[in-house]
Amino acid sequence: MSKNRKHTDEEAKGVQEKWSALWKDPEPDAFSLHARQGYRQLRDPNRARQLLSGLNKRMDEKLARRRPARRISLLLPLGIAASLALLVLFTWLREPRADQLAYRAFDPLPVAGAGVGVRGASEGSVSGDLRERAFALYEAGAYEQALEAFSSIDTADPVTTLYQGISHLGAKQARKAAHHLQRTAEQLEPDSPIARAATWYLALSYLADEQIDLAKQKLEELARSPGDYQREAAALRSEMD
Amino acid sequence: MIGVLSNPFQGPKPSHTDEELLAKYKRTGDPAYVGQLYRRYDHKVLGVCLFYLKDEGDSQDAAMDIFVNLLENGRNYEVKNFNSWIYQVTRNYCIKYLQKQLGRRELSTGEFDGNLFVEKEELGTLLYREAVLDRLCEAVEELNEGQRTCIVLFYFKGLSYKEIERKSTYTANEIKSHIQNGKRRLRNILSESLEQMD
Repeated sequence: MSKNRKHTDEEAKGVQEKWSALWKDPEPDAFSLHARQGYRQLRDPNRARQLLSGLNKRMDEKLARRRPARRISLLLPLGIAASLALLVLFTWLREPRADQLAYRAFDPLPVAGAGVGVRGASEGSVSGDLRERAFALYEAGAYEQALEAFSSIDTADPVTTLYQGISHLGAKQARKAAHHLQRTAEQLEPDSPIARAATWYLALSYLADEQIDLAKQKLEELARSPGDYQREAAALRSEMD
Repeated sequence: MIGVLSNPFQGPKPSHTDEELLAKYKRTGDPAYVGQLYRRYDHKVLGVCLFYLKDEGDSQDAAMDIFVNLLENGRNYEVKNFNSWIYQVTRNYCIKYLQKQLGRRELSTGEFDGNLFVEKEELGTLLYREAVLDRLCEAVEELNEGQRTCIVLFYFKGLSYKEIERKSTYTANEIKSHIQNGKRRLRNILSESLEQMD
């Protein structure tokens, strides 16, 4: 059975269970009772599923637009380009210093279009404006000013701490960068794109801070598991030998 | 967990409670957690919207708005029981929407000063008004088809007589009659219900 087929079957099973629970619950709560009354008003009983299916499509589109993973996936070609550039440069310069190696591999993570997570929920508010300003400065490469703006907003959000860490790295503050990136990575599942991006920049931060063993450890972690930065990490790790 | 949950059907184990999913969303900002909550409650939210709004398109829009609001502002909410909370949010959304629609119609017709289907002196507290709206939404289903169609289009959807004429098979006179008779019947049903509530 293909993965998609299995997925569709699971989905159908889930929908079936949900409907059964709504209609067969012997002691429905007020929510279920109200919902039942709503569906009873439909002249065609099959219409409920059609309506729900239409709603699901709209919601899926909305979720997909908000999904930071899509933004991260855009990094792959950039990452590949960065690693190729790194290899070319490496043939010219033998035995570079660790921090030079780190900054050759450093390519700031682009900020995706508006509304995909980085702008936050408080758009239009004071904190939303600050967030907007911080990301605009980051995109402009004004890392120190971006860091000032980041320091004024809530930084518990892993997306923000990720960019804050990269800004520190861009501002040549490797130790502070490592602190924020480690915090970001720890908040997320290790295989998630944001965690992988955080781990990549964390490895660069360690490298820039001459913490070679830690840098190697992070790069090996990325190189071992499939996903973003796997190839870049493997390439950079091999250059360190 | 952003990548792990890139598909709303994947990621958190089914054992996660609603409140745990919301807590995870607050912590990570990953919209897939809202996707999971959406999958658990979409049918109930849509059903309640249908109950109140009497229109498939408006109900879909309302359900969508409710979940988009959760997506955009969910990280700011303190929720102890998600089932009760989302039910209340859905109900409030629909009641507010209906009050706006009915209020607009009330202004345009200038017929009543308090509520289109209930005499002014019968209206009390906000909770009482909400109970009246609940009963009104049920009572609409007790009308005959012509009355129900015209009442819903005129009061709930805010259409004019001419627009209803274009949308339905009824003539202008039939529409007028359905609305007058339907309204009278609704007032009778509501009066009985209100007496029972007192």
